[in-house]
Amino acid sequence: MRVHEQMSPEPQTVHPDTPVLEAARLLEAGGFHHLPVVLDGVVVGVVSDRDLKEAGPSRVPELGRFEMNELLSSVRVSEVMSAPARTISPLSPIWLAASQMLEHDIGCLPVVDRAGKLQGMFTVNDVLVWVVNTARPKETPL
Amino acid sequence: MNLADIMTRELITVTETISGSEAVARLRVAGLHVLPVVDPHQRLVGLVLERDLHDAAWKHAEPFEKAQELPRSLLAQFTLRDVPVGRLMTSPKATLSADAPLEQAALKMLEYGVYGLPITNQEGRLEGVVTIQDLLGAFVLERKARAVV
Repeated sequence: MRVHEQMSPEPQTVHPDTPVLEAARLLEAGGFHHLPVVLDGVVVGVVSDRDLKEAGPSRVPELGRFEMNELLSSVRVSEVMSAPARTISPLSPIWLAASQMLEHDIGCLPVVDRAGKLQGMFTVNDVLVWVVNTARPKETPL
Repeated sequence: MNLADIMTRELITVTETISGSEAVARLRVAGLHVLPVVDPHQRLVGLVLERDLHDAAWKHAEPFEKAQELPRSLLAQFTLRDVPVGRLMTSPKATLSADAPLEQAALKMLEYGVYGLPITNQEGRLEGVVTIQDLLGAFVLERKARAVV
């Protein structure tokens, strides 16, 4: 089975200039852990809920909560994202995506075509669904 | 292949009586987010989550204005000194048996939204832990082996 058969197509994205507070709201509202950062259709990075948490207290231990919110609304996604993003081709086999996530200790891979355009997101949960479905009768997938 | 073949057997555990501060320190040293809590007979009685410890630390710091300005990681070291893990732990959402197939672990992880599960025997004794990394590693190896054949 290949990545495009199990990925989530048309994922929520953010722009590099999106404020981190806005990205945090999108993550929470969608129940996501990662968002691809896209500029002109091309994936330039990934921002995770972990990146956003680390953008806070470690930078400003001496600030109060009000100042912290003020500061976070001035920080942009491009300052905290992981870049360049590790990506995967839609035609790669799923085990290869799993292997890359293990090797680099990451929970998701943006799926991009040859031009670098975003096609979908592939996460560790997609690997789990694939694992469960390969063990099930074909008539009753998750 | 079953979970006994891939689970981690050498575990860092805590007991209900140690303090929340000590649990936070052990989590940090081990680079983990969850520790199993066991009784003197190695029976699993709960799990202590890094997130819950930090939330509890925040709550305990509320009466002290200055304490709230500490980074969350430091807060727990000061505010949970007198709080035993037994009061901070949570019940395991699911346990698995070592002879279960790997797919069962994948299904439980999806069902409960967790990436690590304790493995217990019939008496409830903790035998190991299986993480999403263990699972992914096993499936990648299996697929690579098939590709070679």
